[in-house]
Amino acid sequence: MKSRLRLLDAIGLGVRGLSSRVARAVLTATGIAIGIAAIVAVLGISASGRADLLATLDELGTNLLRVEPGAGIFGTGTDVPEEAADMTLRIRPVEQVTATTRAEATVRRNDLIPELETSGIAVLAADTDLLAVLRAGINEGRFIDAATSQLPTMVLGPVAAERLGIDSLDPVPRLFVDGTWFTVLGIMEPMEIHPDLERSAVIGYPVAATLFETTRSPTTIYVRSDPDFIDDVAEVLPATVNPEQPDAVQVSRPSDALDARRAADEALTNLLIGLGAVALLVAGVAIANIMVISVLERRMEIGVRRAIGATRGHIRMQFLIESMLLSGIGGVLGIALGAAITIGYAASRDLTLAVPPQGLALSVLAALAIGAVAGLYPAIRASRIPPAEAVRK
Amino acid sequence: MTAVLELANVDKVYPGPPPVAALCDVNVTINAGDLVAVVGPSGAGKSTLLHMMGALDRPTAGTISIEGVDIASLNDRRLSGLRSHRIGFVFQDFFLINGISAVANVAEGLIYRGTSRSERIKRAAVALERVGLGNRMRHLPNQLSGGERQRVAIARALVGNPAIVLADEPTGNLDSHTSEEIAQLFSGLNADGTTIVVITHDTDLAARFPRTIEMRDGTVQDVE
Repeated sequence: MKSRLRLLDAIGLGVRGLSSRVARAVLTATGIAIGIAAIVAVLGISASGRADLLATLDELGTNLLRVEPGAGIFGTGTDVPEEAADMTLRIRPVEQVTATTRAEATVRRNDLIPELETSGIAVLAADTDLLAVLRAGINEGRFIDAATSQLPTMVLGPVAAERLGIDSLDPVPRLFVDGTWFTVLGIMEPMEIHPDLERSAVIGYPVAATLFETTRSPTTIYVRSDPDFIDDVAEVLPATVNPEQPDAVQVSRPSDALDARRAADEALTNLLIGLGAVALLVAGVAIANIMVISVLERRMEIGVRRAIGATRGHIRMQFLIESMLLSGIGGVLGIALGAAITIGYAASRDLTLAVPPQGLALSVLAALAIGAVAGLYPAIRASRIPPAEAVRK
Repeated sequence: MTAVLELANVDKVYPGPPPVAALCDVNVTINAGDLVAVVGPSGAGKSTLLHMMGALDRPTAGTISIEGVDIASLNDRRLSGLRSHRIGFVFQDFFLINGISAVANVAEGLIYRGTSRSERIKRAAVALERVGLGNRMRHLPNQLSGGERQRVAIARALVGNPAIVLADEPTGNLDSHTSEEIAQLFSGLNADGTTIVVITHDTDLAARFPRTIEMRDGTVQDVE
C-alpha cells in the first residue's frame, strides 16, 4: 500500500492552487515577466543593432587607413611631398590609394555672401577614384571623372549640401567658389566614418590647380591594404609619405570608431542584462515570499491532503509545481512582451530583426529555475508541517 | 471478530515546556463493524486519540496496529499509503476545497491512490449517492448547507472503501436536526458494515451508539 500521485494530477493541483487566487498569481508572475521581458528586449535590440553595425563594418571594410601627413605640430601639409600618394602605393600590401588636398578657397551660395561665411564647408581637391576607394556611394547625380575634374564642377557631401540648402539637382545648382561659378554634379551618400568628407565640396585636382594653385601635396591619404598586413603598413606609412617629418604624420583606422561603438554597445547590453537579472532575482524573492504566505494560509488544506494520503513528497511537489507554474507563466509573458518590444523597436528604427532563439529558450529555463529555487523553501516547509497539527481545531 | 485497530499501552507526550501528557497508557481495540463514540470533556485527549488511530501522528510509547500492521514499522510513504487506502477522516469544519464541485471534492479522496480521473469521478458519484446527495453533485461547497457539506466530507472519507472511518466532532458545527440526520447516516453506514469511530461532545448522540469510550485526562475511563 503506497501513496501514488499521477504527474498530471500533480500539475492539476498546481493549476488549481493558482487559479483559486488569480489576482495574486498575476501580480506575482508580473515580476518575472518584467525581468524576462527586459532581458529578451535588450538581447533582441542589441542583436538587431549589432547585426546592422556588423553589416556596416563589413561593407566599409576594416582595412582602410587614413593618413594625415602634415597633421603634426607644424600644422598643415605644406611640406608634404607631392608624390606622397604614389610612394604609398609602392608599399607591397597596399592595394589602393587615393588622396585629397584642401584648396585655399571657400564655397558660397552666391557672390553676395561674405567670403568669411564658409558654413564650415571645406573645398577639397580629390582624385576621381575617391568614392571607389572609400566604398562610398553617390546619393544623387554623379562623381567627378577625368573630364569633369578639369572643369568648374563639384560634388557635395550630404552635410555640406544641406547647409547650402541644396536638396535637388534639378534645376542644376551652381555655387560660388572664390570668383568662379561651379556646377554641382552630385551629392554623396552619408559616410558614417568620414564626417570630414560629409562636410566638404569636392572638386578635381586639375581645376583646383588652375583656379586656386592647389598642389598635389595631400592633406589626407586613404590607403586600402591587405588586411593581414595592415599593422605593418601603418608602421611604415609615416616615413613613406613624409620622410622629412615622419613624426608629423597621423595614421588612423576609421573603422576603429565603429569597433569602439560596438564595444560600448556590448558593455551597455551587459549592464542592461545585469539589471534584468536583478529584476529576476527580486521577482524570485517575491515568489518565495508569496509561497511562504500561501503555505501558512493553506495549513488546513495541507492537513486534509495528508489525512487522505498525501506523502510529504506529494505536498512538496504540489507547492514546487505551483511556484514553477507561476514563474513559467511569467517567463512566457515576459518573452512575448520582450519580443513585441524588440519587433516594435526594430521596425521603428528600420533595423534587421535578430531575436536569438537560444536566448529565448534560456529565458524560459531561467524563469523555471527561479521558480524552482524560490519554491523550494516554502515547499519543504509545507511538507514538514505535522499532519495532526495541521488538522487540529 | 477481527480487530481493525489495536492500541496497546499508548502514551503521547507533547514536548514542552512544559511537556503535556495527552495520552497515558491507553488500551483500545476497535473491531470490524464497530460503531463507537468517544466522549469526554475538552482536553481529555480525544482528538489526540483519533489522530493516533488514523496514523496522522505517532505515539511516544506503546504500539498501534492497523489491521495487524504496527505503524512504527512504516515510513512516511507507507504510512501515507495506509491512510489513503484504509482510513477515512471526517472533520468538524468539513475541510472541503472551495471552488470545486461536490463530486470533485469527493473524488479528491482517491487522488493519492493514483486512480485515473474518470474512475475517481465515477466512484465519487456512487459515494455521493450513498450519503443521499445524488442531486447535489455539481454544487460548489458554498452552495451547500452545513449538513450537506458534512455529507460531502463523509462521502470523501467513504469513497475509497476504508477499513475504518474516523470522525472528529462531525456534528460540532451543525444544529440538532442536522446532527440527527448525520447520526442516522452513520448508523446506516455502519449497518452496511462500515467501522466508524466518532468523537463527540453530544451525549444524546453518543447514547445512540452501541459502544462508548469515555476519556478523562488522557486515560480511557470506561469502555462499554
